[in-house]
Amino acid sequence: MAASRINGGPSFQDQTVFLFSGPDVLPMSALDRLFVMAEEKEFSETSMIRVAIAEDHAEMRVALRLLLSLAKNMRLICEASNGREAVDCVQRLHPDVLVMDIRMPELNGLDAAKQVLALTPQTRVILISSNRGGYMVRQAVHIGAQGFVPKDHVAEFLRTAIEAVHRGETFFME
Amino acid sequence: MEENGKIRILIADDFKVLRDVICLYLEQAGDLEVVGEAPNLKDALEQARELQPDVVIMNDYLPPLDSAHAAELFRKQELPVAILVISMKAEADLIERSFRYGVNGFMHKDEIDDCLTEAVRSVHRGDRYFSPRAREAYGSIQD
Repeated sequence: MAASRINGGPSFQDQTVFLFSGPDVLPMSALDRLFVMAEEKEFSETSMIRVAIAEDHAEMRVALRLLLSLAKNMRLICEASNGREAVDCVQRLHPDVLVMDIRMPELNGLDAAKQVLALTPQTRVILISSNRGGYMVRQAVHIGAQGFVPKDHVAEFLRTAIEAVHRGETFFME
Repeated sequence: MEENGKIRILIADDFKVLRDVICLYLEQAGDLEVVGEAPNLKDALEQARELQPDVVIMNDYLPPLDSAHAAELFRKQELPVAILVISMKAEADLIERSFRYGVNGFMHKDEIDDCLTEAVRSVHRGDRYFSPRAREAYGSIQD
């Protein structure tokens, strides 16, 4: 991997992950980031995680599709290009996890996530955005999403985030 | 090709997320190795000179030029690298001009999952590669 990332972004150690186990925000050290406290133990190792994506940028959908194809335990069941389609998709197909961009036409990701979480609480929501930082994470937490991943780190961490929220954990990355 | 026998690849695309995911994707194949990434033409040319990759996977627009003009610069500088263009459009005109200026393969980005590894190996062998959608778009103007 090292040779392939010679011009890569920040290293693993440069990032901070916050886990939410209630109202408090708990900063974790980089090396502890993956050892997330489980709130539920419903995950079956043998089951495929059914994933839906909602993203208005066609090229980003290509990237997400390709990334999910690399995960042997995940299956893409629906692609939406705006928030309204995402809500429809979740109502029809009840995915385990919805990965959704925040900035989208017609219905943005935050408002769509609120509807999804109210209508289909068993679907876990991970928001993604080109923007990053504490404000973005707080927005995602505020509307009840289970995860946030900046787009710059989607390739590296989205699959880990999907597995985490599917286990009932949360995964928020500034 | 490196001593380990792997095909050495440079990914040149201004969209970082896709570069990252393609990198992961290619590493799944045992015979391919990503040796560099470039977000623009200047960096791509510099890295092609320094790293001497076997194959450049190039977006159809590499700021500030399209893939045809970018390929022309690679060929003028006599960089001995196969060029595979990936595109969200796969338009006949761009495909035709790209091949005329030295591109070796062309594919739509929607076909990456099905075709990319085959395309890389194909252009590395010296073959001309059209993905199904590129072939369809190229249609009647192919030679």
